[in-house]
Amino acid sequence: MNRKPDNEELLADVFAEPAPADFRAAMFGETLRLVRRRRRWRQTRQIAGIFFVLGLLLIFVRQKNLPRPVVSAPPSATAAPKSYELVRTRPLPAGAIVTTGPLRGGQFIASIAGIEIVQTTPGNFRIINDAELLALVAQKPAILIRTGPHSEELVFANPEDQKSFR
Amino acid sequence: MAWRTFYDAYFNRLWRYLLVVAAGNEDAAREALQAALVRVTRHIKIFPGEEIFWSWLTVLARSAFADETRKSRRYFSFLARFTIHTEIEAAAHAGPDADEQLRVLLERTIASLPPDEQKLVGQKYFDRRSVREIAGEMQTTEKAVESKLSRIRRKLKDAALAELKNEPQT
Repeated sequence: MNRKPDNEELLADVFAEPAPADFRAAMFGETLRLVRRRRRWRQTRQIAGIFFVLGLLLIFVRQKNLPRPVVSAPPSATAAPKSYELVRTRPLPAGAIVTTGPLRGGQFIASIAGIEIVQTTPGNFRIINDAELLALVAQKPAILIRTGPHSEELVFANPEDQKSFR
Repeated sequence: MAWRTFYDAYFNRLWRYLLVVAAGNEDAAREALQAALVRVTRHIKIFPGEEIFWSWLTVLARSAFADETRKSRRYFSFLARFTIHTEIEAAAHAGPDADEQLRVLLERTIASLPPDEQKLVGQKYFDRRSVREIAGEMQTTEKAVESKLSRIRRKLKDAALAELKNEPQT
């Protein structure tokens, strides 16, 4: 009988899978879950990569198919008669331009108005009495009528004389 | 399907390897096995041969064990101060022949069994006799034989792991 314990079965039986009993099953389930997650992640990455490349291609194709800017061709000798008249303008030479500017002080001409100003000063008169008044109009027939305590009226016999005292 | 095949072929082997690496510490070995299997799913690739694949697996398992040990050191740094060093050392020295180391341990522990138990182990695993035959010879039931074998296996495992723990690290 071979007493040397080289039997794989004995080794496996003695050092059986670790407790708890379902440890191996749990580990296997966890492994499968991890593997699936990694696979999903890999697939997602691949799909994203494909979409990225497709996007780049799409951008490239669109850039290629964009309409090019239209360049107008120079008018040829056989072109149709123009329906307009081309007017070209160009700047005037400096000598042909007339400019205006403000005058200097010495160039002003001022006109002076010939107005004589007469000034009066208050208080340059004297109140006369009835006799002096009648003396003033001694040449014209007139009467002095007292109309109130402080009011009198000089009435000329001839109304024409009154005008010369206005 | 591929993963099932992988599990059938390597799960128990990797477990035994980590038992040796963890110096018989089943909890540490279990944590490391879990971490190692996660790493396998992340980094698996095609290898030119089975030997190279197994070497790669052992490297992965050792690094997973070292990382797990370091992690647990954060929580139990004081208590584990005197044991972690030896565990990491064991991890570093455990080669891919962990099964051979376990076989040697088993040989030693079987030799320490009582004669009737040694005989039963010999009949079952070395003479490759069926449980029914053994039960017939012993004039007992198959269930009784199975039960006795189970107790002996447990005893062998405990003794082997204890010896692993006490084994001086070289």
